[in-house]
Amino acid sequence: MIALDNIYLDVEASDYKEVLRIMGGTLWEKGYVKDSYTDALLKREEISPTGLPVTPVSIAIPHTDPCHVIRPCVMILKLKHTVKFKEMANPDQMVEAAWIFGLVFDDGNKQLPLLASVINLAQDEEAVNGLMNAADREGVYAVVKEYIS
Amino acid sequence: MYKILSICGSGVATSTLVASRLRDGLEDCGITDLSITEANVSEASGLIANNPPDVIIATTSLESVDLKGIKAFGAMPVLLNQNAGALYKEIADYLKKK
Repeated sequence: MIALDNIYLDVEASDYKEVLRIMGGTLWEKGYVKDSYTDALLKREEISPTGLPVTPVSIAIPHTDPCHVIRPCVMILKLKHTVKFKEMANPDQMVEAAWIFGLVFDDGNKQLPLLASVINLAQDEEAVNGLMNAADREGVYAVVKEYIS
Repeated sequence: MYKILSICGSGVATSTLVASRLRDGLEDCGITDLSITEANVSEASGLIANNPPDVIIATTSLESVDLKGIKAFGAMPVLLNQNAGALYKEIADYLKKK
């Protein structure tokens, strides 16, 4: 589910919609998702935002309905500059997301441990420091692999 | 049997994790006979009308959902594992009093 070539560093985006378009477009080019995916991802973020106010740095976990997914994966983007996402369950608040963990799920039950791992990782200061200090995608992959199998 | 509806944006990711943790958490509070259904926010109103749950728990804003007066709890403590024990107890106490 975690692949080195689904990790992207220094991604530049001006707002959350651009982040989601980059994520959706890349997943589509690689054959992970259907044509309908990006629109569905944007719509879902509008209705039920995915920003998580975790420390030390906030993240977002964009995802959408499994019917738009062909092959499941997790896509990891490190943003060059933080981007505002609305906070999950509390859309009046914004979080400054530094990392995006795109959950490309086709079956919530099967991929449930994965979601739990992503949230654990994001709340583990040592792991997040490891991510922030990683010089390249190999470094990110090594940290993530310890948490997510 | 207690019926719980776990709602999130897509009905597949966070509501599933919340349902699984809530089941364990409520068991620890002595509530074992329960059925948890997961739903996305757009199908929630229909499910509530057709088969009213005892309690709703959600990782999403419920502004667009017709709750029919059913008590709803925010699920972020469960999702982020932040003081989740207090929430399990609160839900268990509410169910036992029902």
